[in-house]
Amino acid sequence: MTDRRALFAGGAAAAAAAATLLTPKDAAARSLNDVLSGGEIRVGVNPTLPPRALFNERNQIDGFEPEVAAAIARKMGVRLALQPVGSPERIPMVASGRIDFVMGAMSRTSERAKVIDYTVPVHSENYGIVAVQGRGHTSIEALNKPEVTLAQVRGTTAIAYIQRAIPNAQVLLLDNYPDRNRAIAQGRAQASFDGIDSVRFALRPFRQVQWEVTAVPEFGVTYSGLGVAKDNHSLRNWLNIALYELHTDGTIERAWEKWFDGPMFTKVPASPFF
Amino acid sequence: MNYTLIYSQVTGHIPYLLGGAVLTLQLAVISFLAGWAIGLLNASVLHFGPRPARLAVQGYVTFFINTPLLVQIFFIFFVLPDAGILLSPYAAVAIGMSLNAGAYLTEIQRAGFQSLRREEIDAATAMGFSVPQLVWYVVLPHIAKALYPPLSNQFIIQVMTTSIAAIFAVEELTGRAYNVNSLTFRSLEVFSIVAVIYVLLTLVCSVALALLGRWLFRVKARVF
Amino acid sequence: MAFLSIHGLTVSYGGKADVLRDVSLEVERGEVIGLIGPSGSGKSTILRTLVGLLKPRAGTVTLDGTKVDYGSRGSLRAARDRFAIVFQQYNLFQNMTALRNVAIAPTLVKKRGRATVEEEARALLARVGLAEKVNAYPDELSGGQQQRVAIARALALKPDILLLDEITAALDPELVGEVLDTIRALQKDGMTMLIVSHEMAFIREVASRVAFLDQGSVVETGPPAEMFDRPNSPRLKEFTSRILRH
Repeated sequence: MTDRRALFAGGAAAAAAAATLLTPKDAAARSLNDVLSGGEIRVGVNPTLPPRALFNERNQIDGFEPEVAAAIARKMGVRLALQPVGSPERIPMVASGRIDFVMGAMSRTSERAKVIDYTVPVHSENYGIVAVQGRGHTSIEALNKPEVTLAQVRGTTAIAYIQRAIPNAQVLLLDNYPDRNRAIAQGRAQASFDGIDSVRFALRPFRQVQWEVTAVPEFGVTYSGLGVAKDNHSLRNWLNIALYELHTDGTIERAWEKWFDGPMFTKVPASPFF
Repeated sequence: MNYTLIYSQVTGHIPYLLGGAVLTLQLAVISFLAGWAIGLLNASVLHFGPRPARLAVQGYVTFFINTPLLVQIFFIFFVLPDAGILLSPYAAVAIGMSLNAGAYLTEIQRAGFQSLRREEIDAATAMGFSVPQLVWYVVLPHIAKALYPPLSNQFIIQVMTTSIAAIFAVEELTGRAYNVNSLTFRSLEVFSIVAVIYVLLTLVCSVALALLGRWLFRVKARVF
Repeated sequence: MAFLSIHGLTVSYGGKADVLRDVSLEVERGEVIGLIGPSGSGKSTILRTLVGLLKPRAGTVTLDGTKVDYGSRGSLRAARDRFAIVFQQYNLFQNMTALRNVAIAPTLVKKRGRATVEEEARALLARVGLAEKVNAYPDELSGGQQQRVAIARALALKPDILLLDEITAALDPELVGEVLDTIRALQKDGMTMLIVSHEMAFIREVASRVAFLDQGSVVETGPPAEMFDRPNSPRLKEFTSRILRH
């Protein structure tokens, strides 16, 4: 039957694609010198995570991360090429040199750091509970019940925390933050435990709902750096120094305040040592 | 390239992924069977029904074939709740996929109705068969046999299409792959394992369908 | 009144002129009527109308004293209960064995027990000489065998009147004999039949009466010997001379 032949062909094509992605010599991460001589730095951002990155009304990529990336490109003296990436392909894209570093939901974890190298933090990530006002969903204890459903975004770091610390709650994994917020607004879920940095921005379209956002500082803070291909030390060292300068001259904090309607919940101290 | 494939970092997640594959298969079977029934009913209406019913079926088919499945499920999942209909993620995806498959299977089965031998319908009518009896005993075996390959293909497509469910909080194979990926960042390892699971899944389904076709409809399909 | 009485039957379809025009025919129980005439004269249309495959525009059909209303479902079902038709192209269900072809309508339409129906079906297939072929599919049978299955299928409905629509026209000449033998046997058993056929010698042999149709009308009726040897109307004269010459 033809469908089976198509299947084998499909499987073979997938295998071949994986092979080409892995083997050719030129498909490797670019060192600092490669980037400088090429005259262009390629940066991956995830436009489904506003206001970190988003498509503006002129349909161009804009947001906090593109602004930081532009500042980095200026320091480097090269052109900036922004590449929208989603969560499954961003790591292969860095590893194969299609992009030089990746931004966007790149919270550091020891597990992830086995696969990708991180620069010093660009910004902090602070966690809390998003819920509808007046229902008492304001503490981890209140959420840790089987009748509570938490709406979360697939592929975010908070999920691992939830499995550990809020094991009794049901979890509904959605594709993006607007869908998560809609799910809570429609009563599919009661709350969400997640980063609350962008919550002011994200909840803006849902004015008919009285939201209640409770910070949960006892969960600690995670840090997002730039994701660089494993062992690309030349590029990472330079980026660390550039980020130190962008932190000390206030560029990053200003960009943050502009896009997130306020200062970072936890300041990132500029460290001269890496 | 300075990336080393390390499968041992994700092999521990394979049972979890296989659990997702079971859900994938379940969704595919349910939506295919429901879509097939919808398609059969619609094709009967198009062939034997009165004009208003035919127009309604044509409207349904046109709507569902000319809008993306993603939009259809989005509507069921996020818009219906505003009208007071709150379906579970699984139900919303299953209904969306069934309605979508129903439209495609209407088209496929309508072609089967058109290939029917007029003589057999005349004989059944003259012997006093009702329309449902006619469809079930004469039309259906005929189109099942004539349409077995395209119907099998539609089922395989249905298996692939289930990956859309991940967007709507259903933890099937693709959804679970995203979860493992975000945990480990081992994208190539995770998605190559998932690709192999999908290939195995569709291969098993193809063989099963070919055997079923031989047994039920005397379809001389090659198993291998 | 006759067992089957057709009066003023007029049929048209596809927006064309009347295919049947004011046809009247009386059939007594046990009679075999041969319907003859040139192609397109409306012979088959009579049979297809009687079983409700075509809707008459005017006229009445009375069966055993009861008028058949082809517009009403119940009346139509009653008519189909008593007429059975055998087609030129056999029209067997390709997906069913010979046995199932014969047994399906009695079980499905008449809601009779499957075991008894199948027993009868086997007997009927034996009667048409196909005892060994009960489990064969139509595509495994010759044309003559398929046509005999079709006859058994019609008989399984226990019809009062059997309608035979050019049942030998699609057969190879060497297969015609076996089918005609089956019909001869039915005639001896006293089955009422309306036969449309081009086998004039056969009509002459089995028919008790012959009706000659031309351009949708019955032109002449009478016993076969009279009709064939001493035709009255010029059109029948022309037809018989043309047919009998070869």
